[in-house]
Amino acid sequence: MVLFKILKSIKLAVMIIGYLVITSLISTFIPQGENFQYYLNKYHHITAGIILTLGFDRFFKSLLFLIPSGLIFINLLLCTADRIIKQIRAKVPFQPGPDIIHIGILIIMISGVVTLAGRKEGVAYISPGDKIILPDNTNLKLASFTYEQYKDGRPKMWRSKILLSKQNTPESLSVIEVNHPLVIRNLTVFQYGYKDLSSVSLKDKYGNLITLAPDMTVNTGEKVFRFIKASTDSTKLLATVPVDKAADLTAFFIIDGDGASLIPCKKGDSIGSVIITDITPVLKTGLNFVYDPGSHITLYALILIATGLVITFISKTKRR
Amino acid sequence: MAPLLGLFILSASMIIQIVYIFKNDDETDYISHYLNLAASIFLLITTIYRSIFIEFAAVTNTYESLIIFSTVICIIIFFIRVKTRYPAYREVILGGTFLAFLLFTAASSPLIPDTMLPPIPTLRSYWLVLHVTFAFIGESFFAVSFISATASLLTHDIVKRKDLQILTSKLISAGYPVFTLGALVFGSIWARYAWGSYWSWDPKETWALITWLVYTAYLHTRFIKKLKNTFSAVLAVVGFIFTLFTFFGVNYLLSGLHSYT
Repeated sequence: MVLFKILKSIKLAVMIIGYLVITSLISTFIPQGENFQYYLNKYHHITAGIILTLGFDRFFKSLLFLIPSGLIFINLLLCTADRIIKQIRAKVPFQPGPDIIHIGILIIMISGVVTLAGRKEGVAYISPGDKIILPDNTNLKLASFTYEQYKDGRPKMWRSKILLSKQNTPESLSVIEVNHPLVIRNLTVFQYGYKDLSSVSLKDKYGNLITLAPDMTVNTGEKVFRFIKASTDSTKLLATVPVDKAADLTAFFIIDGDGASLIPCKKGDSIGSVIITDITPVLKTGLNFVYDPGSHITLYALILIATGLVITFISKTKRR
Repeated sequence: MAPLLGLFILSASMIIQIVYIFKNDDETDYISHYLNLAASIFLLITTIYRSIFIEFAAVTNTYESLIIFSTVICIIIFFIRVKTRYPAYREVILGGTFLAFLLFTAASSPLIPDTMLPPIPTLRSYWLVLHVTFAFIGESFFAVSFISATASLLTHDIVKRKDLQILTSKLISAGYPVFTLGALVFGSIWARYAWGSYWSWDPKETWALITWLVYTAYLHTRFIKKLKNTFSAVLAVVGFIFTLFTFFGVNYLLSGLHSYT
């Protein structure tokens, strides 16, 4: 009975909250999830030892965090049950707001454990035409990928159009954008990023073939060539192109030695003794595939918390 | 033009309030709260103008967030002043005016760019709009509660102290649900759509949770006799300091998913 009283007490809740505040605060100043050697290099060996022993390197998965969180779960559960029972027994007008909030928090903590145990994710970079087979044998094929920029070069929009099909079912077209993921049964697909794997191939005067990725440099003995893709971002290059020219993927080179200059080029052009033999634009979309069994539980819990907050706010305002 | 006018009006309001406080009687002025309201209108015009220009709600960078912060603080202290003419609250209203002035001055500093730029894809979300607006409305209540809690700790007048503690409690009770909705509920939902996970223990998220825990502790200490006065006032002060660190400190000292500004 005494233990029950202690476990459901507000004082215990306040103490655990105080502990979680202090330890979480400390953890934000320590880089999380790095390897052993990182902490030994970054900190004095005694400090590094304390961090690694206590689990501050992965604080939110450590016992220092999980045990007090478990205690607060028990505290919240007992306190909520006690409150509800007392209100029913006393036959007073029920004020459900705080209890709904508490139940929502309890459910979020449970969903956190479910997510920790079962979440799987992976990122894939694919080009138009590439296919991925999902765990339930659905075929996902990238039909097209669009990347748009504002005039200042900042990203404006990433959009992946994908075709989904399964045995005996026709293809269906879906669109994935940032903030607009696609849900395929238990899997959610997010627009994660993109990669520019474009390349330009040069042939020097000796017939040697050289391939450059964006920003790569080669010294041919006469000149230094650097492949810079056409861009509208004036902060990145020595010169820019108009937005309507950027889509042509014309390659710009800085030539060192006699001074830097930018020369727009296309396939077949010659610069001195160097010939541009090929320009290959390759843009890959990055899709993040997430399976999270706790996701729906978390959403319902958040709705519950929001409901509890609104009810509490309204009932307090009415009482005033 | 509108922001400058807002700044000028806030300065005038502060000067009038200081004059009345130094007059050393209990008389309150009849103008400064209307000046605060006028300042909030000019700041709101700034937000509306920027929103039209960027074709999205202007809540996507530090400058715009500070404008909202200042605006809502001005509105809150206007309502405190209108609802009560109690002299104990004069310092709270002056402190709130000063805080709004400080925040807006910070926004106008060269360290915080005020360029009007349409948002990048991650920020183009109505969950983000709800997240930021509700969080800052909640934090505005916390800001004014910081002033009243500090005043309650500094005063030797027992009656005044009790009134200020009650004011602090009312402000936090109003701000807490709004902040919880904005910072934690809407913020989590936005994070899920933007990054694929409701919670990533990102420094900004962790500090928002720390701030929320402090105010949760505050609300619960109001039920504990020994802690409900001085200790809870200290929590209200600490909570706002953490609020400021969550906003400024994390942006500039710790990096993470929220590094957009």
